[in-house]
Amino acid sequence: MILRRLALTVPILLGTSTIVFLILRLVPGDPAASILGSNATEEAIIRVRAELGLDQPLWQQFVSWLGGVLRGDFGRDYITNQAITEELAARLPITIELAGIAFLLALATAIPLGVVGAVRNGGWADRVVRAVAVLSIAVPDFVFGILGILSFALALSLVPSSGYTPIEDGLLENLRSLAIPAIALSLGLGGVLARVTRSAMLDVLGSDYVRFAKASGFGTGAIVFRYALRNASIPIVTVIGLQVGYILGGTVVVEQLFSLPGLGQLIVEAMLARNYPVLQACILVFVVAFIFANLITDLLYAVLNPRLRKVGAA
Amino acid sequence: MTDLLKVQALSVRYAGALRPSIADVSFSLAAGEVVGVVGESGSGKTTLGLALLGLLPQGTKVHGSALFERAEILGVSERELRPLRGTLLSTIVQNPATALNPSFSVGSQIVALLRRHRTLSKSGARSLAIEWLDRVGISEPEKRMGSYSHQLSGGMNQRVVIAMALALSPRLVIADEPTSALDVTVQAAILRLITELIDDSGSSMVLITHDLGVVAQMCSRVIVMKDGAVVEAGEVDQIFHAPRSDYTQHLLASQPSHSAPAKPMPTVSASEAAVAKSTEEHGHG
Amino acid sequence: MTLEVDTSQVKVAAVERSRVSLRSTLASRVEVIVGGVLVLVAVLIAIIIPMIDPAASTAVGAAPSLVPPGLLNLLGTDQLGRDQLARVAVGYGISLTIAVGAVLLSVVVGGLLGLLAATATSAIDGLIMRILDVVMAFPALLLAIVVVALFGAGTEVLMLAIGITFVPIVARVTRAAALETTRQPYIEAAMARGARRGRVIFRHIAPNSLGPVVVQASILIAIAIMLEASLSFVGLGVQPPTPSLGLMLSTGRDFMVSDPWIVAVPAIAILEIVLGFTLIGDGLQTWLDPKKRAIAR
Repeated sequence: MILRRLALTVPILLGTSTIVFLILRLVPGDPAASILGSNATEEAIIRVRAELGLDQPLWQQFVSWLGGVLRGDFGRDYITNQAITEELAARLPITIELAGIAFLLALATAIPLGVVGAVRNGGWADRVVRAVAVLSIAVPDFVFGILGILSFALALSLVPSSGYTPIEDGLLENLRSLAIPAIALSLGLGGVLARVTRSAMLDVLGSDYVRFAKASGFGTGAIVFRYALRNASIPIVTVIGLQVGYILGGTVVVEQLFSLPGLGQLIVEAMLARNYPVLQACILVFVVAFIFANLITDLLYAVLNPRLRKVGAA
Repeated sequence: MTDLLKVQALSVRYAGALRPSIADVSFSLAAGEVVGVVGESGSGKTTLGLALLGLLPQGTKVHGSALFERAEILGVSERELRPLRGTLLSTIVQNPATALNPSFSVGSQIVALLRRHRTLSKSGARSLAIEWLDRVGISEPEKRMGSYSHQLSGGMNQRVVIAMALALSPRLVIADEPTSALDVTVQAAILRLITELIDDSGSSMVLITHDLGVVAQMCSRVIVMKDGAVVEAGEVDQIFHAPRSDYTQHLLASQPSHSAPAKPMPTVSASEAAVAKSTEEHGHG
Repeated sequence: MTLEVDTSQVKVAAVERSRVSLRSTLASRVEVIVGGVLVLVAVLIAIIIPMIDPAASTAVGAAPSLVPPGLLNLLGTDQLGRDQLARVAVGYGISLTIAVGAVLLSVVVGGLLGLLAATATSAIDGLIMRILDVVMAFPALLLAIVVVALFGAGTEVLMLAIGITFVPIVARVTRAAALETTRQPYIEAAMARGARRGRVIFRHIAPNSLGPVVVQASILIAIAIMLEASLSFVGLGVQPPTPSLGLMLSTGRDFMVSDPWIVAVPAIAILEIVLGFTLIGDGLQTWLDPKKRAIAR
């Protein structure tokens, strides 16, 4: 069953990399001409096209590109002629740190809030949790970002209003520069997680087996945390997989807003400069990350849900 | 003889309901007695069971008193009830498959129960659990410890629930329709198992059921309920042979296989029992 | 032995459920109303303000620049002296056009695909689902960026881009609903009567399948507005001089320090309309079926 899921991933990876590859080949304009500029001669264009392998049949280009990618070679930047892999390597850690903090932040706040909402169902705590969750979902990340800058950075001077401080220059400074961006990025996932946790827990807490556990003398704490949460984690994990996509997409906007030199910002720069090889590479990285995130959550789901495992023990 | 359980003037009204589900019900139960509570759907018998176990939803209005070993168990906090639950007071449910957590193996649930109420090491609790699985008639008990409820048949799940209900030698077991959700071939075996274990441990039981046949087989006294009230109560023989209330007579008449309740229950021969048991164990996953 | 369902258990559950749903029905109706008011305000602004002074949104120098909200300019002016309220109004109009267009596109295409997948052979179903899987493997914003990369920026492209990202979600919802409907006995009965497949699909299955989608539509509009604003913010969406709320945010950033209103106004404007649609969608969902959970965000 796990093998089947892994096997399904391959065609998806192939399909998505085909689409990503096609970006470059389908955009209007001749890449060679745009590199050389408007004064290029006919021969120069032909020469550059041959260099770039653009005169080969499409499928051959795809194969050689894919081969390069698997070897870690994303080709060269049209504009700077740098190896794209180097550019990616420089920017990736920043995006990983940002997305990682946002993800952990969302988990650490949303799940407990959801549990509280379910346990105190109907009370004021529950209403607060639901209201906060709806707001988190409805406030776009960059809107929160701007409001955050206006208040925490400009008015209160707690954090810088933009820019990234690497860890080498001080952990505290590093975290301060990522604080508002990470919170902004975590809002979408957090809101959805809080709601799913709450409703999953409500379902579980109302179930026959929880009632039986109560009748067997287990205390509320043990029931909620050890017992019920385990059952509720199944839908929670499913939702996390879907929402990771929003965090990945969100890095594009948040990095731009806060001038963080990560992959997201690179996508925007590459798009605006028509630097399609770079764009391709970045999008491929994000898509592969998303595919693997979903793979992990699917596998986790199988682990958590005994019904999906191979029938063995009986 | 002091009563193990003494219920007086119990009334239960669910939140938002117009009439009470149970009104002014009184009965008592001595140690070692099995009392049946019989009625049709809507008679309030299940509500009675839930009330005694303290499992009514929040907001339900409960009046009256239920003294268990002379301590009040109605309207008390969860914390006060907890020492009783599972140990002195336990329950066998109607739907065993949903009573067991689908995410945990049945073995781990029994072990958790044992360790909650007794100081036992993990291995000690595990061997005790295996012993009990054996005692309730589950073959290859050690293998079954790792099974999940969806891998076991209804009958086997019920045996697990029975094990959990009786492993801690409760004084009182509240059994709510323990066989209604099971295959007919398996019902007799389960009832026999319950009777045997109850006799062995000397526990009392409140057996809630709609089936007078079950009552005849297992109970010494019967309470007949209709629309939330006790219509008749008495010894089993008296109820079956000389029912006083019209309703009881009506109930007796409408039971298909009990037109002559004085006859002994049809018994299941040993080979039929073996076939039934084997269907039970291999019928599922 | 009589086989009887113990309905007292069912009654307990029913009593509890009716108690819960009474409270949440009230709350969900309030949600829908509040959301509706917010959306109505935005729509009215979008329609009425440009009628008062059509040129105000692009009238450079009509007033002093970076004026905070006041009597003359209700929401202040931007760095080029243009009235913010007028720009917000046009921005709302564009956001709504793109969002509604995208959702309509996705409902039509996604709905058809979902119906097809549910009613055609399993081979076709498998093929469609695999293609949808590939599309869904792209985070929404990135997929939109890919489409913009291929076709250039602009209002119609944005509609297409955002619509495409929604197609898999709509298709899945439709397919699931259609599959459930085909299992109903009355469909079998219709087929047994010799009704033509196409008729059965369009008269019975389709209407039942679109129900859940309509509920999703409001939330999808909210997401579409957010996506459009995000794309415009990073410069990949609506192009200047057409005002867009995202664009206003992005150009205003340079002047944020001296006049916070220049970014606060578009920020709150976006928040208002997105919150409106989110509340409507949320409230509708709880109202119509408390059990169902949101599939899209």
